Amino acid sequence: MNQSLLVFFCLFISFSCEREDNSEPIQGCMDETAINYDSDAEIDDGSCQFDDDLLRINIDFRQFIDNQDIQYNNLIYSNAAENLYSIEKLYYVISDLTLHYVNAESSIISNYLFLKNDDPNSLKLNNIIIPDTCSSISFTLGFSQINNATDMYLNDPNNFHNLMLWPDALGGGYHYMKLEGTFIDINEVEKFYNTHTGPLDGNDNSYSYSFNINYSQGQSQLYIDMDINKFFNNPVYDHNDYGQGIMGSSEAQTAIKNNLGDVFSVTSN
Amino acid sequence: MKIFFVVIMIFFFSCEKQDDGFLYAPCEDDDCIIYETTPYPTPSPYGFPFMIIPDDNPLTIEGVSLGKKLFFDPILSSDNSISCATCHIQNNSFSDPGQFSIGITGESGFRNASSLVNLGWSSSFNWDGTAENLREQVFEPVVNPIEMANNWDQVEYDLNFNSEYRDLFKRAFNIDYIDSVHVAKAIAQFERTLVSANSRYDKWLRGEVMFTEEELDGYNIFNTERGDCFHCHSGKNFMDDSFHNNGLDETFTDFGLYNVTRNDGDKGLFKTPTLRNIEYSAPYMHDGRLSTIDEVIEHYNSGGIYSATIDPLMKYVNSNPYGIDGQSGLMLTQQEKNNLKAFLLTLSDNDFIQNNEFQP
Ligand code: HEC
Ligand code: HEC
Repeated sequence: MNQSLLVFFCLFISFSCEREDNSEPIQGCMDETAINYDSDAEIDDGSCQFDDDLLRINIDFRQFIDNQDIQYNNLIYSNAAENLYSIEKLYYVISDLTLHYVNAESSIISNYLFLKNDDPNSLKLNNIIIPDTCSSISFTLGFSQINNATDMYLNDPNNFHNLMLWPDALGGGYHYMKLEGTFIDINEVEKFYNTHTGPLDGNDNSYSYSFNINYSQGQSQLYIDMDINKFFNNPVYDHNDYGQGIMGSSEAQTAIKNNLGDVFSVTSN
Repeated sequence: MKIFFVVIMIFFFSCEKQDDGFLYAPCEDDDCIIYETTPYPTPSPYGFPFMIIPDDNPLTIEGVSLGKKLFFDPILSSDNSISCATCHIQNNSFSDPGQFSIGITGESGFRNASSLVNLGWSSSFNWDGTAENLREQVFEPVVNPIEMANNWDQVEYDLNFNSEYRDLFKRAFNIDYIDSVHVAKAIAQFERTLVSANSRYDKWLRGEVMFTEEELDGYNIFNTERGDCFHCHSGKNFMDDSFHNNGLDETFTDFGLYNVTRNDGDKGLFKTPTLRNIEYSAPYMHDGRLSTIDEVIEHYNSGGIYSATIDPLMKYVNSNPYGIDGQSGLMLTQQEKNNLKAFLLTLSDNDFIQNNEFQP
């Protein structure tokens, strides 16, 4: 064999190896509930087809202020105490999300969800297959006592433990909500507020909701909507009274808890 | 015949790189040796989350020990003058006591060398998060012109020239040609074993010692709104694996996370550093600007400096428009500051900086 042939052989081999490396990502349907689900697919090409006989539902979690979409980092909102305020961050936990069906059965959709304003994927559940038409939905803002203990979610995904733990020094467990932004205080100074809620002094402070769903055949979209101003309106909650950080204040936690009844609404279409 | 052998070698190596993990031993049937590796137990200290180890790089006794040898060997630098351990010194919790580390050219960088502790529980590396995993991180210092200033062809050449390394890589990974990927894999294995979990704080958690009144108050300051350190320095490793602007500057010379994301809201954000072994890892902050723990506490007690991206958790920020001079900051008393420091000192793990398993 002569040398140039060998060099050629080498090149050929290295190219043939390289090609695998640069090969196009496989396109296909990536939704596991679809009938044409392709487990090798790396990019969803929108080709998913679903079995029409199965009932399915999407759930979107939306956040509003006085029925308007939230503009983050904008000091334009006003609450019942007439605090001018902005929102920079909104993280919250919804646990025990359960769908109840016309046939009287129910299923727990998730033990808990970690919802984050900076992660759109955390705000929707798509294509949940259901056995019958829904009659109602129930869920808890935060965790009920039995589902909330130190290190309970230590190994969970999305960095949940580090981002949401509620220190042992305050009783342990996990935050229910982190709402952060700025407000104009009584001296006209712009200040940060950290409205962080969770269990304190033996009070659970979580809140369970149940909503009837009236929807007719063919509807598959549920919206679970939160209105931020409802956290502060009844009884009136003034950031000037409760201070910038409220994790250690039973009074503040109770004031928020007493406001929770009408924070959520559920609609379908 | 010789040339033909080389061709075969090239053939195997060029394919090998894509097959992380599965490796050819280009030998004749009868002299083929395939080594068995010995699993290295996954570190699982009391109360810690599981350490996630990549499937294609399990910890082995052979891999860890090879990684250690590489970590301490100046062979990785272009003029054989510095090793990883030159800037990451065990006595300093594998950080550099100098504000900026000096590379082979005598030139210094612009960031303080991070301490290397409990890295196996982290999911981004470097102050600005440029590396997503430990293996990727190794590629940076070796070629950085003001650190080891080498190139990988040279590293591979030098290591393959060395029969001891050829043997060790063969034993750890069953490879006959040493490549950059396996250098990085070995070092990453060693780094995962740099575990600190025997500080006074850990002993307190395990019920082996009692905190003093000062330490206990410091723990409470740290973990409540009094000091509010825990939101960022959270979890078992006192870092939330995320990025924040903790109010060091009004304007930035180093943009931190923005360098990676190019998102304006990330200007001046840096990775929350662990506070484990903080006593040993001075100076502090990404640019080593603060030399003592007292100065750090004073920084937070003052409330920090306002800028557009400061974290809302720095809620008592002291300069306009977010505060009134003299009425902002944490407003801790001298005693409270001492107590907070006493707590931070409970995070020192003397066994870690003396552990001879980490020595060459
Ligand atoms: C010249 C000094 C120097 C040398 C040599 C050096 N490092 Fe570093 N190391 C640094 C500095 C400075 C940083 C911080 C870099 C940054 O964030 O931009 C760092 C950061 C790191 C980090 C990130 C830690 C974290 O928690 O984010 C790791 C891991 C690391 N080095 C490992 C190594 C390894 C392995 C080697 C040898 C291959 C090495 N370093 C060689 C100075 C050095
Ligand atoms: C908003 C999040 C946040 C809060 C709250 C916070 N830190 Fe930090 N901390 C950081 C970040 C981010 C850095 C690194 C900043 C940099 O270098 O630019 C840091 C750095 C440090 C360092 C230096 C570590 C090193 O290796 O250089 C110490 C010590 C420290 N913080 C202690 C504290 C204490 C004590 C408190 C409470 C009084 C506290 N931190 C509150 C985010 C925070």
